[in-house]
Order: sequence, then structure tokens, then C-alpha cells
Amino acid sequence: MKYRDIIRTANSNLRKSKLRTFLTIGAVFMGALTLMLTTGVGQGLKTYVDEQVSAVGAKDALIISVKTEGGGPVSNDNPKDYDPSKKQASADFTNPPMLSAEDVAKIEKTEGIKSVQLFYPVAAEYITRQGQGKFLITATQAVDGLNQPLSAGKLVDNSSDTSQITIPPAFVGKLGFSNDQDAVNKKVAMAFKDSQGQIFEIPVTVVGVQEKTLIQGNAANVNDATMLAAFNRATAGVPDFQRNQYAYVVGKFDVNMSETDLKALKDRLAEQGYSASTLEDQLGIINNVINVITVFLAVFAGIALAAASFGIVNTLFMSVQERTREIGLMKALGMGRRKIFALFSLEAILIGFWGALIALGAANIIGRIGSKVAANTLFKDFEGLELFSFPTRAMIPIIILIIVIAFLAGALPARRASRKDPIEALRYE
Amino acid sequence: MADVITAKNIVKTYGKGESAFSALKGVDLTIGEGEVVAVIGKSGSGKSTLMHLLALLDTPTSGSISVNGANASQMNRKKVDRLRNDEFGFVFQQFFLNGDETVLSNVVLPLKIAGITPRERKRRGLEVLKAVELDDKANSKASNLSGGQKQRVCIARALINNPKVIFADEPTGNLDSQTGSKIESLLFSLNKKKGITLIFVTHDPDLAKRCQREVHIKDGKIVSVTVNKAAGKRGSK
Repeated sequence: MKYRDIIRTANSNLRKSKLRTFLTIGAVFMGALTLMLTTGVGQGLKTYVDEQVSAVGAKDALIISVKTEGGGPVSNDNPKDYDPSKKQASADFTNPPMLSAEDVAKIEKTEGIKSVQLFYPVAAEYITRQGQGKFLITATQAVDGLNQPLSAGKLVDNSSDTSQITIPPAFVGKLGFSNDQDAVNKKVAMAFKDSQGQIFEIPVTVVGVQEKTLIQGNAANVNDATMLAAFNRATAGVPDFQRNQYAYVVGKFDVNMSETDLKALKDRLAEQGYSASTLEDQLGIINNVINVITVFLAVFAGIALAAASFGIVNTLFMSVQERTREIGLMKALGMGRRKIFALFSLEAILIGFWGALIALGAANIIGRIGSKVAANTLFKDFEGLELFSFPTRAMIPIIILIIVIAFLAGALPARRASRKDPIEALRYE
Repeated sequence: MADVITAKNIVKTYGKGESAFSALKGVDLTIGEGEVVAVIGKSGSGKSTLMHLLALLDTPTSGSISVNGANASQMNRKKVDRLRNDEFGFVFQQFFLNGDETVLSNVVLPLKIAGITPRERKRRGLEVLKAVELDDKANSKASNLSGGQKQRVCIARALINNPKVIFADEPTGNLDSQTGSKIESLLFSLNKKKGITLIFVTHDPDLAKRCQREVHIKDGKIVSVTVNKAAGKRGSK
């Protein structure tokens, strides 16, 4: 028998017992749908986290800070000898050990570091605009190459000498702008404290309005020039060794650097007493959590699929039983064992295929509606969150997996069919 | 006259040890090309077992069966399957038709198994249905036919691969005598027109008398062979 005829025969056999086929496909459909939805949620969350994190950092950036010894003075380890050459972790966790100008020079010289961006340890007191009130604001210095989504204007430019800021959407109305576009290229003022505790303001230009993101929240991004200006004013008169201190700096490396080279670079920094982590290192932890949740959900989907595969086994066994005489006749007329096996396992594969395909369609519809509903209710604050995501590269393996499961479930009945003795089968009443 | 099937001292034993039962206890039989042979005996005599062995549906416990001079016990399963598909046709007492399908698709099943294209299948299917005068029923469901019509469909199915031999296991057992004799005549005419070898398995002595040779089987052995001169060459009455 030609394979085309086997497919046709398998199809028409399935059509003959419509209700049974329908119910079996239904069982596979439920299992497949569960698996697709759980994978879809995992993918949706991951995509969201990726987007969110790229809004605060760049791929080719290493966040470098001082590697601390032990857990600090309050740790339970045995008392350690004081070593003036090593930095000590402070008991006050809000004041981590700082990088000195010397450290920065050493980091800059480290092989593999292309450039170092300094992060000035100054915090804004408030933001204001002429004729408007004063509002508390968290302003972070933008990492070169960050990808903050904007609703208007452009990103801050670190190479510019003028002070720039992108403001979170909540500040648009507060600062008296009529809309996002209206805020662009307007002057605002940011206030800082100097070493004497005196407030001073510096003028800053709004270059863009940010979209609300989960991690960024209501923090504004400012460029280097803004922070440098604030830092210079704030530390005026402070001795250099106290002045040039940084909680962390960002070192840039070649984006195309291989995994092993990057590891070597981190090791080189670690040898000198600095800890370095990429965006991905930090993203990794969040992604691991999502992966655990996805796997956990997929276990339930697996149980549903296992139940469905029993359905396939049952359906095909019934089918083999009912068609004993037909199988006997086909064998008597010269149909080989392998073709009989192919015929029955193909029926199983078709059941799996249709179940998975219908599930894919349903998952897309449910995902679309679910994402919309979730975005308007439960996850209202998570701007830009698409709860379900069904990329082809994740769905095709699932469809293949389900077809393989269907084939395995069909193998046993198909084998029984292929081994039927034609005489016994023909005698069967 | 060349020999189509030669059976040499075939034994078929079911089971083992004390419960062993020999259905055939050493049978020699040679069937020539174009011959019409009836294997006759009571139920349990071993006649059906003999037919199954001759048709290569089963393998003997000992002894050998040759088809067209080739020893079947030395062939692999695939070759045996192809041999049955190419050379043999089967007509059974129960029709073994697929009632949900059309008459045509029932008839072309052997060609489908052989891997013939759908167009060729249809052409040859209609041709054999014409030969059994059922071409007008080609697209009817098989379950809608009468008993005699069903058996004619079975004969058409047995005929479609231009077989050398047709095995007919109680072909008229499920039919009334009038319809039965029509079916018999149809089968005999195939022998006459196309020279197809016919092997009947029956307990009906009237049918056996119309054959050139009657092989009487009892308790797994051939007890006598009757040659009917009146039946003549190629099944003329």
C-alpha cells in the first residue's frame, strides 16, 4: 500500500467513528491547550522582563563594584585580621564600600574594558518647574545604550554637555505640562544637597517622556552631565580622597565577546577585588524564577497529556478489536505487518495532530483575550505586559511533542493489529 | 499442464505435548494450472486447514509447499505477502466486505494494497464489476446489497489482480441454493474463460461433483480422490 493511500485510509477510518474520534481529539486538545497556555504565560513573562530590564541597562555593560570580604563585622564567621589593603563590608548596608579614583583607573586598565562610566553618588531631593510645586523624584544616571521606551521625545544623551532628563509619565501633569509632547525641550530644575546640607538647584532640559515600566517605576533618567554638575556642586571643598568615591561604575565591553572571554574578564576584575555582573546575570535570577513557575505549570499539562494518551490507547484498542476481520482480510490479501502498523499508528498521529492544531488555535484566541483582560484588571500596573505569548519557535516543538506522544500511545494497539494472525482474524465473529 | 501448487507430506499440529492436535497428518497434493479442485470433507476434517496452508495464509509444521515451483517455506514474509497479493484471489463464506464503503472501494482493496494508482484502480475495478454484472452498483454502499450481490462483489475482488488461483472457502454456504448455483456458475465460467485455477473447500457433494477432481479429507488425511470425467477440461458442464 502506498503511503498516500495509508494516510487516506487512516483518515477515513477516523471519520467512520466520528464521536469516538472527536472525544479522543478532545482529550488531546485539553492536554495540548494546557501545555500551550502554560508555555505561553512563561514566554509572555520572559519577554516582559527582558523589555523591562533593557530599559534600565545595556547588554554590553558590566556593573562593577567593590568585592567585599566576608559578610561584614556582624557576620557569624570567626573574627578576621584587619587588612588595610582590603575593603571591608560596612555594617551599614546602605553604605557599601566605595570605589576610589585609583580603583577606577585600575578598572579602566583591565584588559577587555573599553570604557568606564562613572556613577556619581548624588541623590536628587526634588524636581520642580517655574510656577509649579516641588516633587520628590528618584533620578538615575542613564547607562550608555539603555533602551528605555518613550512616549515622546528622545533618550538622554550622555555625550552631551547640557543637563538632560527623561521624566516618568506621572510627572507630566504635576509639572504643568498639557501632554507628553508638550514637556519635551522644556526647562525644569532639580535640587540636590551640598556637603553643608544646603539645597541647590540645577537647570535640566526635559528631552523625553518615559513609558511606565515595572522596574523603572517612577524613576527618571538623567544624563552624565546632570549628575556631574550636581556632584561637583555637592562635593565642592571636600578633599579629593573623600570626594572621588563611587558605589559602582559601569564598564563597557565588546558585545560580541564570547561567554568564556566574558568569564575571564570577570575573573580578572575579581582578582583585583571587584565584583562585576552583566545585565544578563541579573536577569538570570528573574528568568530562573519564571522557568521554575513554567515547569511547575507544565507538570499539570503533562498530567493532562498523559490522561489524553490513555484515551488514544483506548480508542485504538477498540478500533483494532472492531476491525479484527478487516485487518485479517487485509493481511490475507497481502498487506504486510509494517503497513498495518503504519496504518494504525498514523491514526494515532492524526488524532495528536488535529488535537494539537485545534489547541494552538484556541490557545491563540484565549491568549489574546486573556492578555487583554489581564492587562485591564489584575496586571493593570504592569504597563506593556502581554501575559500570553505564542512564538512559533516555542509552539512547533510542542506540536511535535504531542504528535510523538500520540504515536507512542498508538504504538501498542498498532503493534497488536500488525501481529494479528489472518486466519484467526478471519474466523473471528 | 504445469503445476501451480505442490504440497509434499504436509503436517499441521496445533498445541504442544499431550494437548497437541494434528489437523493434518501428512498430505500430498498437486494442483495443476487451470484445474478445478474441490477439497471436500466434514467440519473438523482439516479441509480448511489444508486450504489455509495451500494459500500460504499459514505455515505447515512439517512438509513443504511450492507455488510455481518455488518453495514457500524458504521465502520471507514480505515475499509471501506479495505472492498472495499477485497470484491468489480469495472468496470466503462470510463476505468480509466493508459495509460502510462503496462496492468499488471494496473491490479495489487488493490493488490498493499492491500500491496501484487510484485511476488505474478505478478502471480495473469497474472492469471486474462489469464481469460480475454489478457495474451499476459501483458507488452503492456494500451493506445495501443482497447476499448474492455481495458474493459477486467478493468474486470481483478476488478477480481484480488477475490471479492464477482463486481459493473459495464455502462460497455458497451463506446463500440460498438458486443464488448459490449462480455464484458457482460464475466461478466456473472464470475458469473456462480465463483459465483461472479454482480450489473449492466445501462439504457440498453437488458442488464437488461439478469439479474435475474431488479430494476427500477425513481426520487430517486424504482418504480418496475422485476424478469427474464429466466435468471435463476447464470446467465445462
